[in-house]
Amino acid sequence: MKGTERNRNEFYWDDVEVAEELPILSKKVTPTTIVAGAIATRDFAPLHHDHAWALREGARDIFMNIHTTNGFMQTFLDQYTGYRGELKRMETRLAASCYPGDTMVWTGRVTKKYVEGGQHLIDVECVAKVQAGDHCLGKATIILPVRNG
Amino acid sequence: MASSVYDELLKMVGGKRVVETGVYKVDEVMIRHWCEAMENANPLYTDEEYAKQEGRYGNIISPPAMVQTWIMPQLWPDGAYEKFYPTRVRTEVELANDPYILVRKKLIDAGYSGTVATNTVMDFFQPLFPGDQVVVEKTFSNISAEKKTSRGLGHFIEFLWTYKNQNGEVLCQQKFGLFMFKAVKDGGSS
Repeated sequence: MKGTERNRNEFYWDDVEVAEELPILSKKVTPTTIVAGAIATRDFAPLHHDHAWALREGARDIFMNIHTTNGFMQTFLDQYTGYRGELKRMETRLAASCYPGDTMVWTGRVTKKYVEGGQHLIDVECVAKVQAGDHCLGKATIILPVRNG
Repeated sequence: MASSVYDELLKMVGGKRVVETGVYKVDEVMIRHWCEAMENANPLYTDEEYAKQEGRYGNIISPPAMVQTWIMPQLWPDGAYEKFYPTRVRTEVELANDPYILVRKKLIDAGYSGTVATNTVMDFFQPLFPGDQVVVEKTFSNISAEKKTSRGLGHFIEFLWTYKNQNGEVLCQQKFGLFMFKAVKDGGSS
């Protein structure tokens, strides 16, 4: 399940096929990943950097904040479109927390290809899995360039 | 079990909105910091030359998924810590003006001290450029009846956030969902 990879400058809406899979994004998550993401998104909630606090709240360790999950989803989508896509809509639903020691693996597929309001769009559904199961279920709508557009 | 805080908060749905201005303007270095953390190599966010030549906007843009970062509260001197865990004593004026603090404080006071983000939906309308000043309008838009999850008993709450730039143009509309709960020990499954 490698996903469809294209040359960066040759990514056009025209060539996308419904049901094609996105290249996988796999990330080994460490405490540094969690803390770097939390601080880069200016999220100082102790759950995302204070181990003792996280334990008191019933978690087994510090865990990834939603802004970092959204950030990695952005990276996953940007890598697929070769940086030529433009995010129009993004939806994330969190399930299992992402902890240090997890490998976060993003997979996804194109579910729809259409033109609306003069924009050439695709819909993508994706999931980020961690050890405990689904960490995040995501949906996105992306605007893509069109050949001779 | 019926909870009286639920009845009270239900009446606040769709009520008062609060307007907040981002502490920092959209900034190239903060964007790079974000890209490092998210391992994002998109040159549209960091490479001015690329953005001028290849980009759609002739300028670098802030990653769309980063929008909320621009309105996060500051750690010091007005503690972000208290914003997330609004347990310190606040004046009635402060509480009355900010449903985002008030709703969570009422839930914490009722024993739902755990907080976890559950979902977001973001619709993007305009890109953010370095130097832009982000303003956000927040309203309290939903609360569920008490539900039992693996984290514990609690309420799902939802806020509607509208982000605008200094020209009043809508950048993004976001639904932001949280679960506030009475913690039980995590079995490791969620």
